[in-house]
Amino acid sequence: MDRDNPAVSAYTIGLRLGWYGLLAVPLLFLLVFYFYPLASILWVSLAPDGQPDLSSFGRLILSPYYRETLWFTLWQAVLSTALTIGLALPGAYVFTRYRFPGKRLLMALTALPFVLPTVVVAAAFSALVGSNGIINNALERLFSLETVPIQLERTLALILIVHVFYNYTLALRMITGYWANQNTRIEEAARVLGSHGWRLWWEIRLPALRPVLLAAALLVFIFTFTSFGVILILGGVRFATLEVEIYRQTVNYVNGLPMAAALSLVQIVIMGAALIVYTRLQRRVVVDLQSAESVARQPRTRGEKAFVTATLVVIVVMLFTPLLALVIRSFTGTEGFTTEYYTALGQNSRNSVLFVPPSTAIRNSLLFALVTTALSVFLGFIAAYLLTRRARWLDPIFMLPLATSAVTLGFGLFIALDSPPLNLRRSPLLVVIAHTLVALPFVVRSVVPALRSVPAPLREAAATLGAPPWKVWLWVDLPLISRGLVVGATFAFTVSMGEFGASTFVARPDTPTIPIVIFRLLGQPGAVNYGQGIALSVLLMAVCAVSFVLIERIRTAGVGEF
Amino acid sequence: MLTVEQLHHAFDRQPVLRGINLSIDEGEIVCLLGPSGCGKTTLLRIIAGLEKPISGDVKLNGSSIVPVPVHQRDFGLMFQDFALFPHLNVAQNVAFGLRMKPLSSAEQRQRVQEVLKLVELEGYERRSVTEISGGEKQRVALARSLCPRPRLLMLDEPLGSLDAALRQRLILDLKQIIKSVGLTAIYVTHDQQEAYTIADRIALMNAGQIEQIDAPASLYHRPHTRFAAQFLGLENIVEMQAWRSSQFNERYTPPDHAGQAKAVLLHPAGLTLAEKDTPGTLPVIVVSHMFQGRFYTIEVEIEGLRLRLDPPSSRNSVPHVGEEVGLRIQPEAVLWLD
Repeated sequence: MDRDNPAVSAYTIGLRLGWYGLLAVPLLFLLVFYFYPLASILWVSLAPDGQPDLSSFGRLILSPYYRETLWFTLWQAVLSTALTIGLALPGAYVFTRYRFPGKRLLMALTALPFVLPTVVVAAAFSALVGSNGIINNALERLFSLETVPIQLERTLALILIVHVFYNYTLALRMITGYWANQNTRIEEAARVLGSHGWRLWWEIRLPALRPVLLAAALLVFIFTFTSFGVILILGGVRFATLEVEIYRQTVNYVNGLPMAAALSLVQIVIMGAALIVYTRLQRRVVVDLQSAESVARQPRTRGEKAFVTATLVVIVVMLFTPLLALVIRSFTGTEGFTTEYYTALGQNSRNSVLFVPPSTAIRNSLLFALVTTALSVFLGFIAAYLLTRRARWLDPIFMLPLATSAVTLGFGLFIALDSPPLNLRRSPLLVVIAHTLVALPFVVRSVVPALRSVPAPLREAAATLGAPPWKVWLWVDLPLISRGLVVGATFAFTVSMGEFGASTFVARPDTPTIPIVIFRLLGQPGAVNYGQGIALSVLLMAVCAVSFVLIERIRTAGVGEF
Repeated sequence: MLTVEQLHHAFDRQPVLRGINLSIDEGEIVCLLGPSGCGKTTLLRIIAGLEKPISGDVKLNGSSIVPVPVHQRDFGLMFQDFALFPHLNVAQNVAFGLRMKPLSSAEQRQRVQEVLKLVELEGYERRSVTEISGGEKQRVALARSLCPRPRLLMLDEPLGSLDAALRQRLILDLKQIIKSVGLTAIYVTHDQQEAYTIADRIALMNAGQIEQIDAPASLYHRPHTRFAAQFLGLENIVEMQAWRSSQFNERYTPPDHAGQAKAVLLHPAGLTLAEKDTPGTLPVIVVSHMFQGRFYTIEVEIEGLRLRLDPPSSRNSVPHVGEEVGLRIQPEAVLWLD
C-alpha cells in the first residue's frame, strides 16, 4: 500500500493541474468573450480616442433625438407590459380555477413563443396583417381596392400586438404557476365574510398575487425594453428603441461607434438595475407548474362556460393565427397556390440584395448551429460540474449572458474583437462565439439540475466498487445526465438557428444566417423577395417547432429548470 | 484483521466520533448498533474511505489504510437505499465492480452468474432495477457488493427501507450468504433484533463512543451501562441511592468491583412471580398487566419502586391488578450499571 512514490506524486499533481485548467475553460471563455467586450463598450463610450471624452454622453443628453429614443423605448415597454399583464390575468384565472379538455396540451403549447425567433414572429405578423399579408390581400381582392385597407405596418399598434404575443404566455405561465399554489382558504374566508365581485379581486386576489405580478411585469418590461428584431423589421424608420439605435449608429454612420457604445452603456445600466430588482422579486415567487390541477374544477354556470371558452379562444387565436398565416402566405402567390418561393430559395437572382442564394444561408446556419451546440455543450458541461461540485456561487456569473441583450453582446464582440490581440472580425467563428454566449446559460440550466439530482450514494457505491473518479463520471454521472445534456444541446441548437440580435453585428455579409437573410428579404421590394423571406421563416419555424416538441417531451420526463 | 485506533471525527466542529477503538477478526460479523446520530454510519464511512478522519488510524492487517483512496480499498459497501444504478440492468449493476478488474468478459459473466445464483436471482439479468421489488433490490445490492470479492463487506442499514415482515426473512438470508462466503462484515443498524440475529459481536455506540462490545446474548443479559440497558429496552433501573435504602440492599450487596456503580438493573429475564409469601420472595403488589401475545407485561410495586416483568403467556391465570404476590430475583439478574 505504499503510495508515496515521488514519481506517482508528480504525475498526480500534473493530472490535478490539467483538471483545474479544464475547469477554468468556461470561465476563461466568459472572460474573453463576455467581460472583455463589455469593458470595450465602456472604454469606447468614455474614451473613444484613448482620451477621456464624454461628448457622446453630452450629445445623448442634449439632443432631443436621443432623448426621444430613450423615452420611446421606455414608454413602449411600459405600455406593452401593462397590456400583457392585463390580458394574462384573466387567462391565468381560467387556467388556475377551471378544468377543461386539452388543458395540459394548451399549457405546453404556450411555451412555443419562447423558442420562436423574433424574425419568424415578425414575419408571421407581416404575413397576417402586413400590407402584403393574407388579410389585406384577401380584402383587396374581395372589394377590388386600390389601397391597402388595414395599415398596421410601421405602426405602434403592431409593435404592441407582437410584444403581447411574445410575452402573454410567459406572464400566463408565471401567474398560473404561482396562483395554483396559493391557499384557497383565504379566499373562502373572505367570501364567508361577505366579500365578492370586484372587492374580492381588489382586496384579496390582487394583493395575494402582488409578488408574481410584479415579477412577471418586470420580466416583460425587460424583454420589451430590449426589443430589437420586432421593431427593426416591423417598425420601419419611424421607430427606434435603444437597441435599434445602437444598430443604426454602428451600421449607418461612419463615426457612430462612440454613440453606439454610449447608448449600450445606458442600456446595460438600466437592464442591470431591472435585473437586480427582478432577482429579488423572483426569490419570493416559487413557480410550480405541476400542482396547477389542484384547485381547478369544471366550469358550471353558463357565464363561467362562456368566460372560459372566450378566454381559450383568444389564447388559441392569438397564438396560432400568425403562425398559420405565415404558412398560408408562403404558399400563396399572385395566382393562388404556389411553391415558387421555396424553389426560389436555391437561386441566386440578379436583383437580390444578397451575395448568395438563400439556401446557402440554410447551410451556414446549420453549420453555425452544430458548432455552437458542440461548443456550448462542452463549456456548459464543465460549467455545470463546476457549479454543482465546486463553486455554487459562480452560478449568477454563468447566467449573465442571458441577462444581457443580444445586441449588447453582438456590439461588444464587434468592437472588442476587431483589433489585435484578438482579431476575429473576418472570422465566421465570431458568429459561433456570439451564439455560444447566448446558448450557454440554457445548457447550464439544463445540465445543473440533472447533475444535482444524481444521488451521492450512487457515486459512493461506484467508488467502493473500485471505480476511480473519472470512471465514476463516465459510467455513472454521464449516463444519468444524458437527458439534461440532450435538452441543453437542443436549446443550444435552436437558439443558434434563430439568433438575430447579436448576429446582425457579427455575421459577415458573405456568410449570412437564416434570420439575417429573412430580415434582408423582408426589407426588399418585390413579391418574390417577400415570398422567399416568408418561406424561409416557415422553414425556421419548423426547425424550432421540432426542437420544441423534443425539449417538451424529454423534459416532462423530469429534468430542467425552466 | 481490521483495527480502528483512537478514531476522532467531527462535522462543523461538532464531534461525532470520540476515540473509537475496535478490532475485527477474519470472518467475523460485527454489528454497530446505536440510536441515530450516534456516529455509527460515520464510522462505517471512514472505514470505507468515504470520509477522512480528523485523527486516529484504521489498519488492515497491520498497515494503515487511511491514505488509500476509496476505490483502491477492495471493500464492499451496501447502502441504505441500495444506490443501484438506475441506468443499468440487474446484471450490469452486479458486474460494475468487476469491470474495474482485469477480467475477460467471459470470466465476468461467469462470476455474475455465480453471484446471482448465490442470492437466488437467476433469470433476473436483464430486468431493470427500477422495476423489481424492494427485497429483490436488496439482493441485487448484496450481489453487487459481493461480486468483486471484497476483503471486507460493510452494510449500512441495508434493510432500513423495507417493511418489518420482509426484514425478518431477509436478515436470515443475509447472514447465511455472508457466512457461506466466509466474509468479514460490518453491519450498521439501529434495530437490536437485527443486530442479535446477524452479529457475532455487537458494538453498542452512543454519542460517538462505543459503550460496550460483546456477543449478542452477553450484551442483552449483561449490559454494563445505564445507556446500554435503556437502549435495549431494559427499564427496571433503580438508582443507587434508592437501592441502598431498600430491603434489596441487604440481600444483594454490591460486589467490590461495583463500587463506582450509579444504578442497579433488575433484568426482567431473571424476575419471576410466585404465590404470596413463598420463601425466598419479596412481597409485591401487581399494578398493571397487559397481554402482548407471546408474553405478558406485568408491572409490580415494591416500596414505591415499579418493576416490569415479561413472563411468557400461558393459559394459566395471571395475577390480577391489586393482588399481592411474591417476586423472586435470581442473583445474576442484579446488574450494577456505570
